[in-house]
Amino acid sequence: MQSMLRRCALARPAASLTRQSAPSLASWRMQAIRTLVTKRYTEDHEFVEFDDETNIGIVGITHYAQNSLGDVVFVELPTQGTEVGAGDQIGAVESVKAASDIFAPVSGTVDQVNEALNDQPGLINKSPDVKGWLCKIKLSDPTEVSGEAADGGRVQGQVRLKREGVHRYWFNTTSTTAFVLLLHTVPEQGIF
Amino acid sequence: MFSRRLIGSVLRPTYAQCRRMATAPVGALSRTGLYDFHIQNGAKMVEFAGYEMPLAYGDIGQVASHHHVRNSAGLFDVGHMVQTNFRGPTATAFLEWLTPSSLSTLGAYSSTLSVLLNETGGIIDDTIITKHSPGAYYVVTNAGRRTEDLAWFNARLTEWNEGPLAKEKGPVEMEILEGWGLVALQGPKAASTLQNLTSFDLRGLKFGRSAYVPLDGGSTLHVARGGYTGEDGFEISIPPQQTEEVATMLAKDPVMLVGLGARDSLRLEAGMCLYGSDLDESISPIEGALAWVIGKDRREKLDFIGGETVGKHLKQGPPRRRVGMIVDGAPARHGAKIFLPGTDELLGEVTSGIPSPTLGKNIAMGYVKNGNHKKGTAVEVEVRDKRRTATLTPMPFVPTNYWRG
Repeated sequence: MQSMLRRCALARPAASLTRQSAPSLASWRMQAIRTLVTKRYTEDHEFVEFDDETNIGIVGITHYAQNSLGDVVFVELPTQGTEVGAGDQIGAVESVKAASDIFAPVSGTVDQVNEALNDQPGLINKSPDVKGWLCKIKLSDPTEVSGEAADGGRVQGQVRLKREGVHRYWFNTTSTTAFVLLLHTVPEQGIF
Repeated sequence: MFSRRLIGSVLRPTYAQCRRMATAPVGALSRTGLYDFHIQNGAKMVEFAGYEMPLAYGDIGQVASHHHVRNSAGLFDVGHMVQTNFRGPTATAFLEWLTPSSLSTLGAYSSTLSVLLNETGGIIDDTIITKHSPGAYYVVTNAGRRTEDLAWFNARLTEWNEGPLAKEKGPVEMEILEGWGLVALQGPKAASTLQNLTSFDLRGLKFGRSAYVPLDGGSTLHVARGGYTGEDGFEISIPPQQTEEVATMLAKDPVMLVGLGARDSLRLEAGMCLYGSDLDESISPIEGALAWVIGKDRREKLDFIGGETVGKHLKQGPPRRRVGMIVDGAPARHGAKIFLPGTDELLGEVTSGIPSPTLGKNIAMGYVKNGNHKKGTAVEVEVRDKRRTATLTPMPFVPTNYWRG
């Protein structure tokens, strides 16, 4: 978690500086508590790690899911460039005993897939949230993740993004030193 | 994610179930005599056939367990299965009425795979029958079919014992070995492991034979050479009060405890059926590719329950046949549809399928229309709305490794 924060901080200096120059009080408040990375979980034990700078959500399965599934031996990934709607089935993660469908947690276009999983499906067990990510989706409607609707647990297709277990990193851009607040750091039991 | 499709129609623990089991005991489920032993050994317990059974132990994954059985030895608790003795002067004739096996020509202390058939030739259950003498048989049936099997046995037994042969020569009695333990020691190191615990020369006990073997510690147990993995091994029947002690004695290096997960992948590689997935009451033994269990001397008279259908399927060919296949791309699971390539002609369905840990290929078994069942036939299997090419392949997928002396 710490490394993720550092990564976020390092990834954004340019953005931070640009925004810092915006003068009005309204926009200052917007920037001061601007969401950088929002990680949300679906009821199907997937996560989407949304970066509002790029509008890209990284999709993967949770540690809990990989543990329940056991040794992952096969991953079917969506095709790059495919348009997907939230709730669409976009692939599968399979162990010897089970096949688990992957549903798009958000709507958008598949921007990239984790080709490394074709040769090393076990990355999902070793590192479900970093090296074992499945695909990146460029969101067509970022409010699916960051909007109030997402907070309220709106059902999107078959997918409901959970408020519980959400990691949200707030970044104070008015300071030269990154100031980070963590909200909802205690995930719901069962997610991890 | 996690509309999970698990192998087999019976083995379907869900996340919700796993979670529930982790926190609270499940009501109304039975336990084998090894329940405490499993818990002490870090088993992840799941519901299977009305029992709480180990899916896996500790952090050992299914693939590691699977390879361990293929390369060394594993111990399975199969105490949920139903063990029954049939005794009486007409026991052979009674069991030959219930099954198509040639039991009269089966040697003493020999076992055979068999099937219980209904009136229309459908398989009520598959079973292992061990003959001790013409008047004494030991029969093991599936836990998941306990209710149906016992109802069937009881009804047919009553009928039999009121019939002329039983009246003339004597009745048959049925004794269910309630609470008895049954463990399977499987793998290339199974024999050396068991040999360390007995003075009985196991080299003389070949595949398909059984014996009462005296073990260190004083107990003499019924040991049948065979199993459900395709490896050399033994199924050991143990009185209730000794089950845990014997299991503890056997579960020593190099033997690893193995749960239901690896049991399923091992049996599928060996081309063996899981009742409820690959066999059911609508399937005849000919359709189920089990024609070999029908005794040669029984194919003319067909004087067993369900004989008419069996005779018809033997003569005219069955409408469908169980086949093995290797599927390209994605693993095909239970329920995947099988098509004639490039057409919408449905040939049948997959009944079991996994990515084979031993072969690194996707293996499956299923049923196809008769005539499309020859090995090498190219078919297409639908997985997640996409057609995948597959080739019909003889079973077992992994060669068996039985001790034939």
